[in-house]
Amino acid sequence: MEATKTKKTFKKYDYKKSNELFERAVEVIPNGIYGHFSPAPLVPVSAYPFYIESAKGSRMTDVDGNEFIDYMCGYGPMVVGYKNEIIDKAVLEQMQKVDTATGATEAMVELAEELVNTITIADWAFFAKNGNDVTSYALMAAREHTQRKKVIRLKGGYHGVHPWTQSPDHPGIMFDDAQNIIMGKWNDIDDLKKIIKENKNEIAGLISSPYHHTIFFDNEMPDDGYWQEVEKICRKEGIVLIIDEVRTGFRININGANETFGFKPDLICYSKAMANGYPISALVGTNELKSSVSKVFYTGSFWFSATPMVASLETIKYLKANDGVSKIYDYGKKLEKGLVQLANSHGYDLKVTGHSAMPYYRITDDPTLKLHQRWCAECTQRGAYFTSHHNWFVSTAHTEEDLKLTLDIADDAFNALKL
Amino acid sequence: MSIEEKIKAGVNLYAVIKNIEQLVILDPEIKELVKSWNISIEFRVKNGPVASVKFHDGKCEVIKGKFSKTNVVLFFMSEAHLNKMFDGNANPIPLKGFTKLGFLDKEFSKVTDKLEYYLKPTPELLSDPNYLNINTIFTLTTAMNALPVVMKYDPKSKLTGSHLTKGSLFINVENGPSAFVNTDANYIEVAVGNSETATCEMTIKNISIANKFFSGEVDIFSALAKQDIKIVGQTYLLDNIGLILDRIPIYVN
Repeated sequence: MEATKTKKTFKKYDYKKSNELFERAVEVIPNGIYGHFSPAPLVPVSAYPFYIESAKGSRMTDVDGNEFIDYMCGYGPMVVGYKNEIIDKAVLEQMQKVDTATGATEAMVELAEELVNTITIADWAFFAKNGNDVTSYALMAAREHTQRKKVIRLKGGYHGVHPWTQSPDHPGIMFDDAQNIIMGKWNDIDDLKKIIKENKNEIAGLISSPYHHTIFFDNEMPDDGYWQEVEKICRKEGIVLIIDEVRTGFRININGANETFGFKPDLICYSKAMANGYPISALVGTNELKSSVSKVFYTGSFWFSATPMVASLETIKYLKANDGVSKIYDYGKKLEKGLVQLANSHGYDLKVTGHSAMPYYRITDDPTLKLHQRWCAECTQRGAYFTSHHNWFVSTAHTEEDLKLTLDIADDAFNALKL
Repeated sequence: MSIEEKIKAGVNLYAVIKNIEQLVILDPEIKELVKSWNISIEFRVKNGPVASVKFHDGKCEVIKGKFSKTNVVLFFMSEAHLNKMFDGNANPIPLKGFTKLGFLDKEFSKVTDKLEYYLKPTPELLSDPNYLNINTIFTLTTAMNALPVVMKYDPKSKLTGSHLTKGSLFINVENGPSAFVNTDANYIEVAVGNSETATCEMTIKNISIANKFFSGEVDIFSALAKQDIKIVGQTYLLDNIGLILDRIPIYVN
């Protein structure tokens, strides 16, 4: 990363080796890089690296040797810094003992106890690998518990890639896959009441993120009283309330985002940040659901792997010991203030929505997003990795030095927009 | 009537024969052939779609519906009947213009034969740059004009249509053809416009990549990463249009 103190201009990165690797990849891997890491949504693609060589703290270095302050944090998993020494030490120690063997480990019990002690509504915890493992399990549990088939999910919400989470117009998805999924609207109590009225005693569960963090569009917080009313309706109608905290978990409230918004769900899904990048997910819930959950057979070859469990234990302890959630929020707020002021000084309106720990930024001066895409690209090519379509992520590893450098980069990028 | 026949008929009438407008410009033989033509032909399906082709002053105009004065009316008992004619397995029922039947058989068929030639490529034909260019233009024209038909009747595309938002997509092939599409909820129209008025732009590197893309032979995600195709703006618009474009080959022979 190159910064000159006087002019605050930055040399733009190039990605020769990344592109060469991609050329090899497309020969042997569908899409080259698939899913949410696909370069396709990055605009322009030429501004972004595809392959990472190393990462430490808040920074990552690509295969071309370009260093970035990472504001995507792996799209959420990194929360206390890449290669966090405390977490990695615990992982290495566990690895030397056992990871996957013929049986569970003590780490599993300890992690479940830690989650029950940490997350307010949690009386138990179940572990898997990815977020979608547990969002799907939550649906099965809700159906078993209520002996009903239909589930409400909200338009624009994301709960993974299993067929029930996707629209049936997408390749590989059938209308049958969505037969018992009802699409509701965020922040719309009347719509929820209408759906329930039209499907009386048929709805097993409602799944939603704690706030509406869609891609491409401004994120939306719950209206005053929204969650309280949703909870009241679900209780009255016997609907299991499932909160998908895969993206928000351990970033906006260590005890559960529902505590921030003042309501109690029945089930909460976690993954991403819960182990600082080690692969694990968890479904936690209340005792009322425990018996139903226990009846649903659900497992995976690597779901008992001990090292991610140790990583998760240490991540949660680290966040608690360092008041991590507050630290993340404070950095997010400072970043927001700095970037918005900077944008204003250049004559742009930079709008920030969502939670400061995972903000969605958008330059409103051009509703087509082209200007915002250009600015994010200019920042990324100077060393501050910003996406234009997705909320960003902040971690405890982001420092004052990162903040200053980020603002310098952003300033230079705003200047570049005028060229 | 099956949905498949309905969509095929719509694509044939509103998308495939639309290419005749360009054919009379791009192909010297056809240009020469039609230069003195002054005739309009209506394709009418019973309780179904209608399209008309008019030749005048060496130009061709293809519209949905009918012209005020039509010389020839070709009638089809059903969408399936029309589709069979496009496959070369049936004849239309002439309702008007009996004196022009010889023209249709001997002259107009030269136009449709040439159209078929350009729409049914082989690797050998595509190695000719001129053929590649015309085939790409026709494939793009067919795809764009097929979008509203497929969105209206194809069950999956109907759902995609409901997800569309207000916007405008400009598709541009460098040193090649371009197209402009306006969208809104349950609405797509091929329109006039350019990159300055578009909310989403898609630029394809060259005619060869464009040909493969419109023929469904290119993995869009890889092409974007390799910068063979570039997109900018409200790219979610292209996500949805892409879903409908993917459905078109089901209904085009």
